Amino acid sequence: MEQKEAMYFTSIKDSEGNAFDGNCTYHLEGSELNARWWSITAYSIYSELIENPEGRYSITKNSVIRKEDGSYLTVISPSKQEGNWIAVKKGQPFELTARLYNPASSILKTQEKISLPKITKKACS
Amino acid sequence: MKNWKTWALSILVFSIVIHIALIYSFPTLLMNKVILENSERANGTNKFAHIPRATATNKSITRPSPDIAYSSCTIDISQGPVKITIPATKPYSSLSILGTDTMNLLTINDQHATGEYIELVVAKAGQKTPPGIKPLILASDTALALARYVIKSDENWKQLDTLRQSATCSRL
Repeated sequence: MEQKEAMYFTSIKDSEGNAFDGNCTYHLEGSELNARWWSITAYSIYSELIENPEGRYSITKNSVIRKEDGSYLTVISPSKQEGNWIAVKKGQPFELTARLYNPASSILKTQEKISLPKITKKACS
Repeated sequence: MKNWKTWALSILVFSIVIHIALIYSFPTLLMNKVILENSERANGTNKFAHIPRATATNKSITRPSPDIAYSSCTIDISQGPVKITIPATKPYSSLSILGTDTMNLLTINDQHATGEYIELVVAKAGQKTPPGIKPLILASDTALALARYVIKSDENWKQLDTLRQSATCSRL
């Protein structure tokens, strides 16, 4: 598809440059992505959705719980969390893909400057 | 010695030619497999197959979005043009046409819908199509139509799954 229809961004590393590790908990913090619809989904390194009983594979423009200022915090962890949570599998590496459908023209013009959520490692077990 | 060098050079050139041929033909081979599998899923061509919602155990599509419902139709225009209509659902739905080389030929979304449906006619050059509709002209007899519908919530999913059954992909 053309970029004005959809843009995908995949991350395999946290903000420190370390590969995502299913033994760790991460905080994904960001603000509204400027597109008609967006989602952020976790995948195994084999491009498969990660099995979890609650079916918490992603956050989306429709499902994410926002703070008063419009920003959001999502916990990425193998253990169940309250609020925004993307489940990953303990002991397994993973990837995150952001999908933006009909991104705003400002993103198309300066896509290298797009403000994607920050993903910070918090604790490992 | 000269014969040995000629023989080695011939093998090298032959290997390079085969390698390049495989690289160029891989997308077409892959897409032909996808089109065949999709026809089997839909019990024929010019019919939509509504792919179950993606989960960790349902792996019908590579790297699927669990928040998008996918439906696909193998288009066969060898006997005439095909008209595709899909419900234009919010917050986002689209119809893509993929060629046999995996190239995305066209995508139109709910913002381009006429009324409640996204409509498209696909034809070969020279085939007669309805007046007033500009068809997408294909170079080959087959292509794949892929519909995407955003699932707003788990509650919305059942309603959306029912609604997408109204999509059509049929010869004019």
